[in-house]
Amino acid sequence: MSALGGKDLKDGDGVVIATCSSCDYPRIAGPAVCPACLVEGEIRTVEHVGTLYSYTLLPGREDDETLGLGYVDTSSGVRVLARLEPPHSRFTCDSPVRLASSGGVVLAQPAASTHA
Amino acid sequence: MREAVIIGTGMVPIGKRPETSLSALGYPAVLEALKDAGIERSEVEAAWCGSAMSGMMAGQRVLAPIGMSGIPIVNCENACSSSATALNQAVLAIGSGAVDVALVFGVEKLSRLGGGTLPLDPDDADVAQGLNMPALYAMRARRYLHDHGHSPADLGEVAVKARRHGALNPDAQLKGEVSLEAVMSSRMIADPFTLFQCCPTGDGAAALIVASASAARKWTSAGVSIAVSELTSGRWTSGFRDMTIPEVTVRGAAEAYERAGIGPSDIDVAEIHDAFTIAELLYYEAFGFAARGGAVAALRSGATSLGGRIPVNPSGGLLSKGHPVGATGALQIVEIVRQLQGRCGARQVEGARVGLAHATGGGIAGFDHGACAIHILRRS
Repeated sequence: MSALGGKDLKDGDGVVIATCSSCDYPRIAGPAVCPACLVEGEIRTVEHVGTLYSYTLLPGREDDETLGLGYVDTSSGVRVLARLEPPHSRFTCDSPVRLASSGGVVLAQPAASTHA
Repeated sequence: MREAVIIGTGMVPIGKRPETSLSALGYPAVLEALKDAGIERSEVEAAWCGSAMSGMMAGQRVLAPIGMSGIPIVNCENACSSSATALNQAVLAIGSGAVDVALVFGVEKLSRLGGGTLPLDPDDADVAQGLNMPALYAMRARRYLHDHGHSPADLGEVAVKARRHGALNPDAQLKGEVSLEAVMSSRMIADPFTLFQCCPTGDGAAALIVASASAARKWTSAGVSIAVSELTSGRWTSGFRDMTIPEVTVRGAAEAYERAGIGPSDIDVAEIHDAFTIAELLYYEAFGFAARGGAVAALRSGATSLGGRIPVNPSGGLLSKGHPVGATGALQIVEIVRQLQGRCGARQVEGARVGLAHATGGGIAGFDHGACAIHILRRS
């Protein structure tokens, strides 16, 4: 499951990841303290791509339309829960996705490849 | 630690009772347990109440109308494992010698929430993205189907079994068998789960009288021993987790088996946490009732049905009997105790001597589950 701190996401491409400056433990940027070693220093990076681990579709959840949700594993080792951009038929388990964030919401859309 | 023995059980049938107060829902179960144990209220030295959604002082509110007060009353909240947690705490108290006779009960009135999925913490990172419990389990299911080449209909068969068992349980919320076609054609909730693959919301209560072994002998020789009461919490992670391997249950099961000195083949009957169809399959594997990836085959072979090698959820489970969240743990224990006492009528598992009850709780970002309580019971 994805880490804590979704509220601290910045608008724009990608998802902000915080890596502990002491022990390198990665997490979604949010609470300043590292859950692994309790140090407060962190280095922030932005993840743009990931692999869709699994997903589901919830009929009628998004203004009476279907809401797609999926867990995305990023290359930094952090798992993120993202909303899937319709049409949802484009997604399968293990498909590469691109990540964006807007107003605290993480969005995923299909990507041709997770490699730069 | 001193042995704890269950000497009385009580429950109310599960259903929707919006006009019934929480206390009126709970205390009949307590009274039945006291009567079943053959003890007076005054013999109870302390009480533990499990409830997830009932607000402050649920235990005191349930017990006051039947004149039980002035004793230590502890309220336990661990989501769906609330009353199983309550039992764990009572077992520890008895084991330490702090009390000789304890009341444990669970109560939940979900009808007051008005239907729909359980409300989760809006500050949770995943909930903020739109996650609810059906969605979480649905993603486990999709990954499991993907990894092992199974179909959604394989999940539906779990619901068919649950309803077949529940049809034999007069206290079940959903009575009557259903066909696989009916399961698969019911309304889609969270793909691949259709409505009948999700546990219903309802109201319910269950109670246990638990005593030290020496105290128990004053009242009965038919008590059921608690061989193991295992409680743990999930391990949080920010990263990858195999959602088809329920880590808190795997870890809890291993610990419980080791402490009891037994293995999966020693379990005669089990009540496990089948909140959604995939859950039952994953837990077959977690408890060693099936090999990794072999849960569907075990289900289809009849091994986990009544009459099979290891009947799972003879009560109908959460899918059919119902899932009044905080009361579920105690309800599972009531079923196992009565199975071991030979009191389950048409759904009786013949010759059952060792039973297992399993309740997990909570949807929180970063966890498999927040809590897991496992009890292994033995016929005395």
